[in-house]
Amino acid sequence: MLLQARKNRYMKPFGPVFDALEAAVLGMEEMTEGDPHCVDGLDIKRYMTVVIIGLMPAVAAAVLAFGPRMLAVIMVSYVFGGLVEVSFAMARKKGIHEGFLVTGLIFPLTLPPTVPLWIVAVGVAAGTLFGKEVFGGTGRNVFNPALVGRLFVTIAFPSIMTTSWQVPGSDAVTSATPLVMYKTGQTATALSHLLLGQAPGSMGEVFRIGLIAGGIFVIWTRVSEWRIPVSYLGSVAVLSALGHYALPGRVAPPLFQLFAGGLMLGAFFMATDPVTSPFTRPGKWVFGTMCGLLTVLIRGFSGYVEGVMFSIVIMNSLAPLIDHMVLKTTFRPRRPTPAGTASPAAGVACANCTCGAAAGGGKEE
Amino acid sequence: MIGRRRQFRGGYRFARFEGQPAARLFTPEGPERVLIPLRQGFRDAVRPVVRTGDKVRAGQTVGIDDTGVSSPVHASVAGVVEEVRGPDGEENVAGHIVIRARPSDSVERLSGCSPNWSDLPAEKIEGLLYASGVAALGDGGIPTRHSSSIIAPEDVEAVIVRDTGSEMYHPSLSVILGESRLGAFAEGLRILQKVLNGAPVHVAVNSREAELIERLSNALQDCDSVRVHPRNPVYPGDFAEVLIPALLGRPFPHGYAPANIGVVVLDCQAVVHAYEAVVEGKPLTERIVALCGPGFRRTSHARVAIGTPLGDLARQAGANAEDLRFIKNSTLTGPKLPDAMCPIDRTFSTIVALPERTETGLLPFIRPGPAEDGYARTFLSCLLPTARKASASLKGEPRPCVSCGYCQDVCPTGIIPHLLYKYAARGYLEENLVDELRIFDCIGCNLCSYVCPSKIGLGRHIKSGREKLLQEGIDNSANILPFFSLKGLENEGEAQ
Repeated sequence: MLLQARKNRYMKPFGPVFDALEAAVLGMEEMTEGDPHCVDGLDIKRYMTVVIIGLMPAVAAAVLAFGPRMLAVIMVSYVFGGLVEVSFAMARKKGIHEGFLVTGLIFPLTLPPTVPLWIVAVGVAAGTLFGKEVFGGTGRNVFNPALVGRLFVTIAFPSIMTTSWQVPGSDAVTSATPLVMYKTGQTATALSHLLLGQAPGSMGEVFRIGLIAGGIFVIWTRVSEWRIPVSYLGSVAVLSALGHYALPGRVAPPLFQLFAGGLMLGAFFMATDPVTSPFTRPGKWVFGTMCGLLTVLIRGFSGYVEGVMFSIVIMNSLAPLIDHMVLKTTFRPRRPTPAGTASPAAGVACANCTCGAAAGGGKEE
Repeated sequence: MIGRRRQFRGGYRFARFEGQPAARLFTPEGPERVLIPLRQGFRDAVRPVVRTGDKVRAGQTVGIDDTGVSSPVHASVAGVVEEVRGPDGEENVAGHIVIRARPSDSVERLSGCSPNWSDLPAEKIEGLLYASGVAALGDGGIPTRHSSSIIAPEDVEAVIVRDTGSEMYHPSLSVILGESRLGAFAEGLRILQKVLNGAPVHVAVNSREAELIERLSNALQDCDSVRVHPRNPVYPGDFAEVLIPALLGRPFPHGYAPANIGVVVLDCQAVVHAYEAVVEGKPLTERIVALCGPGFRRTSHARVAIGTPLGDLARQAGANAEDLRFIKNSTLTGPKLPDAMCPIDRTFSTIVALPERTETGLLPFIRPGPAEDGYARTFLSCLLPTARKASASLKGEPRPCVSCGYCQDVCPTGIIPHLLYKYAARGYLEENLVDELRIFDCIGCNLCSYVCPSKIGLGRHIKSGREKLLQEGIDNSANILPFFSLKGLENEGEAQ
């Protein structure tokens, strides 16, 4: 049936859609060209699927805590994010890429549970368009598309995005998330409430045990890597401990900071986006640490209560520069050659070689 | 003596794949016709010295050239020369000789061989190694005074013999060094050491072969300068570029050959051949080749007469009837054998048959994959001790690079394959690629292409980027020549 529809000439522009459907449902028919002849079984679809599996505890918790409407929010996000991706794929006459499956799920998880559906649609479309497609699509974007969408709606609709937070497990709405409560009254919410998802917050961020478990699962599979979450969470812990010691009125204590707001979601699932974070190992440490520093600074000293989104987006823009600096320092030319200043590794060669001895040996002809 | 263990960075330890060669050695029926390539092993093609219609004996020299860097080739069967095609540099054809086999038992032996080889002068041993064709084996040939390598025997500083079994499919050492061949191997090492400047010999074998390592150490007890290194079978552990730093503690001059720093790199079988040539006077007319991969109903090792067409061998070894892709020596780097007429020559050690079968099935991206190999732990197989299934399917669609970093993690030389690929694929080929990003450090192991979830042929792109750089006259010499005193450079550049 699919093939029949495909032959219709009005369907020609929809080629990428048919390709994607066929590949997803039936598998690909491509063979290796040789060099290598046999390859690893993992492909990008499965790669993205693993991230989605890692987010499942958070999604399930969101549905339990805020009701089945959350599924509608996710559906809207997928439909509109998918539409932007598909139309760009059709215009480019290239394949549909699977990245939007993750973007389309992470974006709604960052939204307040009471968010109107039309804002979800606008946000995900803006995020996919301005965060990814304008840069040339998958693999070329500078910013995390989900965060670009979140930033877009935060700036465009500030009142809707910051004032009404549903209390998990009930229909009551409050304007006080744990971070707001700390900033206004310095009352830290109990850790158990934060961990188990009993404090108000964005859809996907409240059930933090699930996020940590999902994050560790994704790291265990090697789909995500551990350096960024460890350095991000580590620097938040260390810096907030120092900050709280020096300025207890401004900087919240470390454990509260770690488990409040969107930090777990951001550290495990957004800062780790491989496209928008540095690819060098030292770069990852710098990136995570700087994210932590910015998060603590924004939370403690700015007009905003939450700083995860801003820190990651700011650091996204610095990621290429960080990589560049790391490459400049670790990949230096081996050029400077005056005898004696050669690198230690090269020195071994010089010590071992028998230049003098070999020169005396008879060569052919 | 057992050597220290030192690993290299990165790399990948392949799980057990279905279709490893069984430890069984058979001798296929003699082929009706053999096709002897005039270029076999290191390095140049030789000139034919027989004419159509000539009768040849098994082991008779049919091609030799004393001017280039080469070793002679021999008739592997007795028979009549049917066709001679000489080398043609313009068409880049090495040429070949076709021999129609005739039943005959007489085998030509090399003159001057002796079981008391230690009484032979070095000159005589070198002559036997050259005349037998054994000197063409290894990464850069075995140096003799007959210009079989780019360096002279006096230039040799170390000999490395390696068979760590790090490839996805590899010959079984219990067959290669089975029967009386272990003794021949130990003796062969001594012979090589005698002619190669007394250089220290390092034998790198799979650490899982504990019994073999013990027998080998016992056999070599009296040799102080032979070291046995048990190595974990981590790919690409058999590449000279990673073995030389790991075993000798010296850096490798990337972009040059091991011979340039005086290191001779051989496999275990070459050492056995050296023994057979010097002690038994046997010209190199047969190889033990592992026949493996899911394409063979029954995997095995075969003692193949050189020049046997692939089709003959595959039929006798029980290759499946379906569409198969035959690959020489390595599933990651080896060439695909073009057709059934393709001759098995002395550079073969493994033939892998992979089914040319696409993998389709409902929702393939969420298949559990109990027998799927993967660098990332996304398949059920990572929790199970199952044998993995190999096939020539791409197992996904090509996608843009998402900088997942797998290629970077597995790269044994610490370069950044995905970055080099991005530069090379877009044609930004400048000197910083050589000096800073070290594109010439790539050893071509193709592990990056293996693990890439976006199915990008990174290795291929890096290779073509390098070739383009060389065409523009940019090479790695500025990063190598000041630090190494390289040998044999005057003999380079003549390869056809």
